Amino acid sequence: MKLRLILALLLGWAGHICAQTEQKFTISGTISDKATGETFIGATVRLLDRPGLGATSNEYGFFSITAPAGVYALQVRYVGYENFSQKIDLTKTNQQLDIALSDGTTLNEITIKAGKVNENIERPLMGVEKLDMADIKSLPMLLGERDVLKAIQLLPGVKSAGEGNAGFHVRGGGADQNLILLDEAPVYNASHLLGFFSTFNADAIKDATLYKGGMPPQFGGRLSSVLDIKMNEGNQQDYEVSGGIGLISSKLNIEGPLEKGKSSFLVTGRRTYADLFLKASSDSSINGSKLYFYDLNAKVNYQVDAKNRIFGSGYFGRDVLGFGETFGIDWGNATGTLRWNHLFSDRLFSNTSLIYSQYNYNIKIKSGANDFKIKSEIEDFNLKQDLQWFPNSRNTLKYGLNIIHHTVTPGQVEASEGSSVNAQPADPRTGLESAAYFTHEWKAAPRLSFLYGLRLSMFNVLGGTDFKTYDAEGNVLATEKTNAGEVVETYLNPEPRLSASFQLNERQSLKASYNRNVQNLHLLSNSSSTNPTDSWVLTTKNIKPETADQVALGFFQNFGENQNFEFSAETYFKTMSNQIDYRNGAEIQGNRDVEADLLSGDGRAYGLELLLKKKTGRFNGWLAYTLSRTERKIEGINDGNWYVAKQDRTHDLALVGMYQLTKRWNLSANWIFYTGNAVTFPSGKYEVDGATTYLYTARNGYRMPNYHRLDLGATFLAKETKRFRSEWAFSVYNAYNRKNAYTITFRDSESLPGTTEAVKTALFGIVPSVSWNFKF
Amino acid sequence: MIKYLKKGAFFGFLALFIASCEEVIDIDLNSTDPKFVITGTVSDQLEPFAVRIEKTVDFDQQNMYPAVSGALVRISDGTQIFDLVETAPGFYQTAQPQTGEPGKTYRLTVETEGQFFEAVSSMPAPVPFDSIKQDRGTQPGGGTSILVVPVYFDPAGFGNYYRFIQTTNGQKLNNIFVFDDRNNDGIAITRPLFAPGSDIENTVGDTVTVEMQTIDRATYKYFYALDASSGNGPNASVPANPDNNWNNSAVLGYFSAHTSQYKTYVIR
Repeated sequence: MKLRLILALLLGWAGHICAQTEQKFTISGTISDKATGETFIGATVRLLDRPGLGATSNEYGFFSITAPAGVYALQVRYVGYENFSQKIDLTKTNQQLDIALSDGTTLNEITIKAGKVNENIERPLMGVEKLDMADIKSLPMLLGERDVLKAIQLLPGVKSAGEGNAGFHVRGGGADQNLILLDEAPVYNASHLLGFFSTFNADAIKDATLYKGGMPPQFGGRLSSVLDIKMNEGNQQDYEVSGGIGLISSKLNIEGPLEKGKSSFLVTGRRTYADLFLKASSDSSINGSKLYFYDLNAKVNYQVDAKNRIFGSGYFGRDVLGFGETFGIDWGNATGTLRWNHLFSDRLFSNTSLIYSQYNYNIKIKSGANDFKIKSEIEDFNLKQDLQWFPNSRNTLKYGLNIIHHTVTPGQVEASEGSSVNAQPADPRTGLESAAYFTHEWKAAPRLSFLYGLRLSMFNVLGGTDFKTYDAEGNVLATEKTNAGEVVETYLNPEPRLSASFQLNERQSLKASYNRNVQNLHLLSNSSSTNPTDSWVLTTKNIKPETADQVALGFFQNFGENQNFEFSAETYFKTMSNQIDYRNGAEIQGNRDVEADLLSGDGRAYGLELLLKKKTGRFNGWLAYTLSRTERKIEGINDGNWYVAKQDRTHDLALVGMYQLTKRWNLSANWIFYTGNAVTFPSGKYEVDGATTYLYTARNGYRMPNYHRLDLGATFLAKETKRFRSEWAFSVYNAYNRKNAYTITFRDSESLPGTTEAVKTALFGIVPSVSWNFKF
Repeated sequence: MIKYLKKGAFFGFLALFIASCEEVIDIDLNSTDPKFVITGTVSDQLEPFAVRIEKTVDFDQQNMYPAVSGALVRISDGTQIFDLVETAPGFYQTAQPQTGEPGKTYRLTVETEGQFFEAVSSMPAPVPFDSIKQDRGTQPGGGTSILVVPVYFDPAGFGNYYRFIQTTNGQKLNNIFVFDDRNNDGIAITRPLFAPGSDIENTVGDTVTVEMQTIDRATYKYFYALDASSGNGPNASVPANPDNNWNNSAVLGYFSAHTSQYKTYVIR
């Protein structure tokens, strides 16, 4: 019975795609910026005479529309650019048309952003937020550092991991449950300076899209979200130098054609210089301190011919922190991506990627006779093959394969003679994470669309190292020796994904989605902020794959003149299993048996997210509100009862506004309010060997005080000629100097001996900053 | 171009300040039922076996802990049973000084208010305390500090646990110093007693006494967790009551049978 049903569905599906009685032709091509040749992601292409026939350009700017034979008026729209229209003759043959759009700013005195009309209503995508890079550039930021990861924290359902922190939590997930991709390469530690800045230099970024739920099957490997970041490709027409000088860092961006109109390169660098001030000090222990980071992004692309295009891109970033000779740590990511776009036909687009990602840290300690180094690394080799098939304008299909080889080398120790530490050889753990997927975006009826598919993911625990089993106390029960290349354990997980949208009318739609996600790489972290030494571990026999199931319902509405207001309400319910936490008193650093100190359990999260957005005009911005709950239940914590997770916040509100005052002045402001995070505070106290010790009752039974903050920003266009453009960006972080609690600690009172007191530490008061940006 | 650069740098300096500030706040913490806190020690020195029994108080109360009097307190070493007598409210000890023996397992039992509690601890073999030396360390953000370094040789084979107690000019430091040999087996150990946040700073001329204890795994785990949950160091964890060797999870404190050695050093 079941089989017959599946068969019927499959046949029906094939029928929908292939039932082509009348003659049809295809118009396909690439959409790009006329001035720079930079391709556009998500530009809308429509055949005006045939409502419903249209497409959006994919991540490489490619589109394909198949329509019945005829002559059509083709229109292309993209945010901030002039609309493009042309008559297309599809009576006899397929057409290939590369479209270059002109910058819309020359049209008007003031930038009027042209929105993509109705995409949010029509497409069966839920929980997807696309960031406008122009917004990121005008939002006020801490110390004037434009930051993608901080900008997304202003969206509903996304919570910051702490004051000024680039870490984030999506719909109740952990900070490690976000897949952060830079040109398809996973970035393992996306923050600099212990979390205050993200590794993404906003100047090098073309597009950032966040998937909070309803994740398309081409993505996998993390439970909560995917943040898909694409680097700029570089100007194909002209050489361009741009840069900025800020309070803590300077950056420079050089791009240009290698062969005009065919290929381009881009190199972007950024470095902080707080350490230069330290060097100015005459105190040898201060000028011996190091504290800086740098980033380097590079990309080249080459249009081989009309059917082939290749890209190479890379990122390298590093943080260095040290106190004299005593202590030094450096950490950073390196990624590299090689891609080949190939058109098998004007309806079949292929991309092959070879991806490398690496994250490592090195610690050096020298004190007396002790002189040793600790090294830790995670390294991936990743092969992806994606096919996008556009059989007709009702159907888009994607298929693909992905294989990642992970090597995790935890804490290798090199110790010199006389050190109080044993040398530890590298003990690399390896695993193979592979997936096959298909996805079908199907306009089933004029008002009804589906996006469904399946991702089949497999994880092979590979041998070459010792695998241990532990008893309940954490003692080693047995050690299993394995050979390199041997498959020790295999986990196979189907991940169904489904979302549907039903348009009530032209301006309103209802959407629903279900998705299951699996995660085989786990970050062991004990603090809420990101720590460079937090270690990634692979799934093993002891650590099972994490899974999450999420259902979401949403209502979407556009209104106002030109439909320039967007409203959405989404609710979600998510359950998670095999969530990891530490046992009480776990030894985290330098512990080869750390698996014995891990506990696992369940999680659940639910919430309501509201977003009201004004997309266009002199004044634009949004209001985002989230009501949510996030809980965990782990045997061995809180007596095995449900408790709220540390990232649980009841209310989360962000109000963001940008206003183009004059041609030269652009103002912005944001105000943030959220319920304090759940924390564990003492309920009582006692004495152990003369020291005051605190008594705890429930895990995360208390709340930090509510957090709120206003940031203000202004950019002033100082000079704009054909050859040179410069602007000043001013920002005031925490404008009303609210002393938000970063930590609350407890101690014996000095002023009232014999009593204890609570002490609040606030990190940032009001922080004004200025930076100067130029382009020529 | 240069003109703009100079301007930028000027503004940069003007605006470069980040303030982090601390203030004492009022916070409303729940009150909780008092719990028993039992700490007991048996050592290889000639001294009475001692046990202290108190109860917890709420956070906003004075640091005065109600003593639990009239308890029946016993320590046995498998062959001999020692009855402890209450010499001060809540403070119990053997009538005569005793010498504990390494290798023996001690059982502490407490009967009070109709309840019975029990904890077990094994006294490890002593490890010779070689000497104390001093070292200089650079502090985060600049400045150097003098570090006190106990020197000993960890015997080959895993499973050695140590606790150090530093007393400077007669004042005991509240910092917890516990070491294991997971990453330091069978070698000379010169790990400094790094005491961040202590109000007692090591200064030239200070007389420092260090007690070196060899302790069992449960005691090590207890102090390790106690230190981590106080938010100190790289292993800072979510605050929780440390697991201990009491048979009842409602009891706080620990029972440790340990060896002790002392050395004194004057900081130069």
